[in-house]
Amino acid sequence: MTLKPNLLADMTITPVSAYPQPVSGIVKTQLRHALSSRETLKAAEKVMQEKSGDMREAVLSYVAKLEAAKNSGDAGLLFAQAHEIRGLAANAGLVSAGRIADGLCRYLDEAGRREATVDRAVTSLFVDAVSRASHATDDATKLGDTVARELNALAARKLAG
Amino acid sequence: MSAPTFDHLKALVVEDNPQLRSLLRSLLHALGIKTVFEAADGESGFAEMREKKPDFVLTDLSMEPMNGLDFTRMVRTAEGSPNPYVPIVMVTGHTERHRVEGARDAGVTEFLAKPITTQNLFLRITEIVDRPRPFVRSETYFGPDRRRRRAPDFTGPWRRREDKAGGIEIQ
Repeated sequence: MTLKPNLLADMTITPVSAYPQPVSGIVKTQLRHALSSRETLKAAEKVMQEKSGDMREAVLSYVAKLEAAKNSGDAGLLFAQAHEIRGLAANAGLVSAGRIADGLCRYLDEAGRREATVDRAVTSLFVDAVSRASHATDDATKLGDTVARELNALAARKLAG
Repeated sequence: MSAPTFDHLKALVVEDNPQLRSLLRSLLHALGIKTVFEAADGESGFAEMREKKPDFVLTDLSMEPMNGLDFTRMVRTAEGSPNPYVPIVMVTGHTERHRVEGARDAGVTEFLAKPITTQNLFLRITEIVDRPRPFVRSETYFGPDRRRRRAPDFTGPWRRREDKAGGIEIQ
């Protein structure tokens, strides 16, 4: 965002002391303590583990939608599914699928910004890789990273024209 | 000794994905915040804001029909907003620079990139609690001060009366 130079004259600042804070006093101290306590972190990590199965199910449903959109030529639809996958995958233990989906999102986003043609061969490779990574019996992160890197390099070459 | 619960602290989670909504609610519960309201998009989020008056908000960016940016702008600037100063953490998978800047310019307090990690979520809440920021109102913006750090080598352009160029205060 480009700020106008005349803001020198038009800006007002409300100091922290002049508006209500969400917590104060003893509650603030207790919350600060809870946020850094080992017990809280342990309880939160337990939540993460418990929710992992639900997250995996959700990721797989988005992967099915991504596969269905593969040949549609609809960049917006592909982006929407890949975006959900990149946001959820790591919480489902599918780190590689998330990284590859992130690469697809970045490619589509950049192509849109440059008003460049989206290469279907590139998006197909991304979709296939996301699909394989999300159905892998173990999350081979190292291999997934290599795939993500290669695909990102291919996408960059395509964008460079 | 049992962990404390924060009975008077109210959070609002605005997220269209039910699994993520549930994850965020459960993480807040684990922290001791038991009162967590939920909404699936910006419009219903704003309705919850008005009715429940939460102390802080976690919101997604991409939602239909009203996304997290419009929701944030509404909270910050709409007539009838119950608390334009409420801390808003935007939780999103959009990591592209222009989208992050868009969120910042809508008036978001903190930005939390997906995938969610416990550490990052708690860090953002810690920031809200420990480092509240002044609010800035200009012709084009109302929200937390977007300046987060001092940049002694910055040479302009100068936008505020308090700014200094080469040790000289800008008037």
